Amino acid sequence: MLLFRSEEHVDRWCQEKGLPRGAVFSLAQGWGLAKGWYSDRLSPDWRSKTTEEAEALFTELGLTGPFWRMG
Amino acid sequence: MYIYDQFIHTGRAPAASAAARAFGFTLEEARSTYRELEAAHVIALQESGEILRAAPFWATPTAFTVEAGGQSWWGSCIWDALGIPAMLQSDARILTSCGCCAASMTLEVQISALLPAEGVIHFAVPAAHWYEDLVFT
Repeated sequence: MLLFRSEEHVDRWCQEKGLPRGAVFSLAQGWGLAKGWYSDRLSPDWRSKTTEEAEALFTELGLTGPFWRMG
Repeated sequence: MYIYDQFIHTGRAPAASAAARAFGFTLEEARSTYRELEAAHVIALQESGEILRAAPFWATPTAFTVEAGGQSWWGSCIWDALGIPAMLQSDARILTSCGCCAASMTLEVQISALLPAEGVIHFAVPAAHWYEDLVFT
């Protein structure tokens, strides 16, 4: 889960590592993911997200498709 | 919450020996408690039995440094690095570099917003496999 200067740099890195391209998304989506995942982490009532809750967050942020299915 | 309090206020994970002193445990009792927390997926441990991760904090140096309020922490990845100011609800700077060319990159969070910056995020591992190898993910 890395940060890159551009999609071109993602593609170059994947080629160098011999890895398939995974999911590429914007910093705004990444910030939404961070807030959705961690903003309640210090609450005494915190519990880990269910698969359904996690996938709903991804969908809300426009992160869809088989890559984002947890099960 | 003890583990998070220690991370937040010292920037470091509490050693099992420190946790033992804080709670009046023996060292083995503290290590056993850490193992129970790992089994419950609350934390992840290093091979030594010390804490590796209490998400979004990472206990050992990484390529993602987060600075806020005079303190600094490490995140294991860009998601966790962004997760630290999201969790603390604090302004912060994230100091990292391009995963490809290692050019320096800095992100800033101010008043609960990520300031516009160059860059995209890449996840190499599909969600269904995130927890199989935490270090690689």
